[in-house]
Amino acid sequence: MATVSSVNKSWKDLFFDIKEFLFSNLAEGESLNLNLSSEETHFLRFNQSKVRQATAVEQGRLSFELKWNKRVVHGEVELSLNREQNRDHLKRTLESLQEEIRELPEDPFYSEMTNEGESFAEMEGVLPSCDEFVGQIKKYCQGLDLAGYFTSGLTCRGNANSLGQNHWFQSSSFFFDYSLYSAKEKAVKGSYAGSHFNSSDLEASLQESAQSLKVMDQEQVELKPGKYRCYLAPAAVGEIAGILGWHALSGGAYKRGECPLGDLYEKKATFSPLVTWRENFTLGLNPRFNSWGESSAEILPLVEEGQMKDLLICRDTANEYGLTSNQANRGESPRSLEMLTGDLELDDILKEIGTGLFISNLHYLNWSDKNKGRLTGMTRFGCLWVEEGKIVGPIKDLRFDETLYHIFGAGLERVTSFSHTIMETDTYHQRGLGGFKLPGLLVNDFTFTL
Amino acid sequence: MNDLINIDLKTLKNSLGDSLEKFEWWALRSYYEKTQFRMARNGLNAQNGSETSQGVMVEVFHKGQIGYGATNDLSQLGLSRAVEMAKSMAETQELLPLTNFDLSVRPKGEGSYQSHFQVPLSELTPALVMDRLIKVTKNLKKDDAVIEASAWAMITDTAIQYLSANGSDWAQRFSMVTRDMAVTAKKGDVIQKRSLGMQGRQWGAESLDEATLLEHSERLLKEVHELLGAKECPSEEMDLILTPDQLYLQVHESIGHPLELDRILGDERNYAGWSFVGAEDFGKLRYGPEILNVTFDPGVDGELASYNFDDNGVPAQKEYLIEKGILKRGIGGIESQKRSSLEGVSCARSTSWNRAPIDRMGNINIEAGDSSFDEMIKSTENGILMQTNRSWSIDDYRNKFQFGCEYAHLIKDGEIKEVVKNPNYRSSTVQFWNSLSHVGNQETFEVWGSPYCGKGEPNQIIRVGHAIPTCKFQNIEVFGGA
Repeated sequence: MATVSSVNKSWKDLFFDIKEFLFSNLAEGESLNLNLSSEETHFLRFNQSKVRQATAVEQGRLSFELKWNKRVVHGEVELSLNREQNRDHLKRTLESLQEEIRELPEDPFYSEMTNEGESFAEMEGVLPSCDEFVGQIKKYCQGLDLAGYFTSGLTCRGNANSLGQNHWFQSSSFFFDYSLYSAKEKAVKGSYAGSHFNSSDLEASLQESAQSLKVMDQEQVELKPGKYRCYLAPAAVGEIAGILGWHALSGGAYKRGECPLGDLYEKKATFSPLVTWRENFTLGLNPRFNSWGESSAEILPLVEEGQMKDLLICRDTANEYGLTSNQANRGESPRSLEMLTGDLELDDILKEIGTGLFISNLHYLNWSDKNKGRLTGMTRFGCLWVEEGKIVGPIKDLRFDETLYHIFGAGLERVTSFSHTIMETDTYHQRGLGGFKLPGLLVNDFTFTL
Repeated sequence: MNDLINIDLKTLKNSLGDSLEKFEWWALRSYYEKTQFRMARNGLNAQNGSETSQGVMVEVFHKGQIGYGATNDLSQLGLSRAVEMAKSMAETQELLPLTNFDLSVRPKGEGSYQSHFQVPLSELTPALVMDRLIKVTKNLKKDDAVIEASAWAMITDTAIQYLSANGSDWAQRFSMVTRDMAVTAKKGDVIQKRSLGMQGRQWGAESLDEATLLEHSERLLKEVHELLGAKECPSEEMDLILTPDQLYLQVHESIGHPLELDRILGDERNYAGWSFVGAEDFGKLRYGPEILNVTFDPGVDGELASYNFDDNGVPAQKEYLIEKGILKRGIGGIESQKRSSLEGVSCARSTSWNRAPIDRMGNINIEAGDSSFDEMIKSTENGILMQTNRSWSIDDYRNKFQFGCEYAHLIKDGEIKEVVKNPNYRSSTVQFWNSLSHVGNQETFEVWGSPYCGKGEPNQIIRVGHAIPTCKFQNIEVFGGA
């Protein structure tokens, strides 16, 4: 095992060093907001329980927001642990932005930079070496067909501006996102994530998934399109929560006429009283500060007992439309969404389904009629047909086409008494942060079309 | 330190002394990319930014395994650390290897590539681009029904260099622009949006020609008004004609992805998915009728994924994937070809310096056919003409799909009739492509593509090109909005 605190100092010291350097190069009337994201990551990709590709990446990115004379320009460049190299090209980047900003028209919704204070959060972890992890897979995956990837290392986020604002967040963590396959090409999904790796937890996760895979070898059930009673497990609800980040909770999208939950906001529609959604930063999945260094409330209610309380509103949207910001990020997507639990116990799920579908995961969701909150997608991984409270067998995957207003409104019957934390596994460009804490849902008359 | 665009990769290699020579094989791939993003909204300046990414991927070959180490620290120390990371990754892989490769998976390649443009990107000053985007959005917002008008441009300059132990030495330079504009209008409770559909190509400053942009904005404004007064798209089985601004994504999702050899080999099962295509289908599967010819063509002028070498250093050339309707060849780079014993193409590609190459689409095209646009309309008794993608979804085996478009006209008795809103269609891949009845001629052929194809663990975005004619399909399930 390796504790990574010794490496942590480097990025933090580097960031606080370069910010002073850049701020000292500002001209009269200029202000500068900086955001750092950096990582030291190992990626191990698996197929057939063996290593397909192994990559180690050390990288940092520094983004600039330069303001001058009611104008704004953004820039983003590489940042390495090489201080001398950084100073040269960061200075050139700043000079280029200083030149460009003087060419640009005024920003019609300009706001002055502010000092939003300081925050510091550092979470150390105990992570396995790549060789240790591969050894565990060799030991626990004999006879299993596993595909997936292990990602491990340090992730940092920093923010500072020339008015004295400072924020720092870093965590050492890992995730192992995987699926197991039966001889009949049926699959179950599994994951193991955290900051303190424990081989017995990995073994337990793999054993549980292998147990779940056994039922997938039963005869496949092919269902006709139609309306079915469904249980959506937390991971499936997580896929729906993911698409909420695509304008469904955005104040700016609402104003631009592209908000799928516009009717809920305007109280033309309601959700079930069983639905309470909130941003909960006490989950520790994401820093509370956004790219302007503004700290969100620890708990931000979005939907309470079926009534919308707030959309996510960032500084830019607030300025443009005369609204009040709730310190959302620029994309106005949830960063740490939690749905509160209900009273459906784990042991009662099959009985409460009666005859219908147990849906473990969904795949490739997209809006099919965005302004009506209608979305389409596929069932995936370990979805089962249930009759009279008993599992009959895995289904042939189905396409659904249903509205959020039905899933969380008229169709919602029960919410589970437990919830799962679903960690962000996005690694486009860099490791993502954040996640959801979500329960399972029992929904009646869920529409399947193909 | 200068930007990598001004550095000969040999200089960086030389800084490492002889530290690479201890490996059976090595390669260095440098990647530099600068992108400007500019956006106007509602006749006003909205966003100006640029980002630069540069770094080096080190590959080392060790006992049949290839390890990857990536860094953006271009000093001797930084590169040496990346070499050690790559060595360590190869050694880890050796503990539990999926495949043992030999050095034939890294052939020697020499040469260069420069994408075609008429006017260099350097002509596009920030003020000039913003001025044009503001004019476009003013034009789109000239009446009260419009609640949002936007226009943006992403201007990208990319340079890749590659050196290897066996003498590979090549460089490629790409000048690319992606442009879009959109108008959203409201009448009562009806909200409709019309857009250009995000056009990405290898081209130069000519991509932001003012007169062309304004012409597009006039058309889109007219069409969004038509949609505000339009009936809902009917729900019934009918003939479907798709223009290239929708059909390119249909090709991407239901031909491109299922033919990727790494999906067929199972690498992508945990993320993007598997494929309904099996190794036994090559040379046999009737994907479509005889008029369907699909190619991997890295040589089409202007397509986003035109290049001379993939990121394994393999020279690229045109190949038929589907010929006269029969599946011939997969979309897989040299490693997947070795693993599967199937024929592939030169398409092992990386999103940037910090990811290892995997099988990606390049330019996946439908070859133009014989039918004119008028012939397709005249031959349609009851059908619909759909344009510009707005929604897409397909299962993890690439079978059951559903697409939505922005704009459609009904076709009755061989004539184009009224506009309908919220048009969608759904089907399954092989059934759909076998319902193809007409492939448009060269006059209907257009270059499209996407800068945002996502895949891989770790995740990677890649640019893909699709040059496509208008095509007609028979008896497809069509439906309207909620």
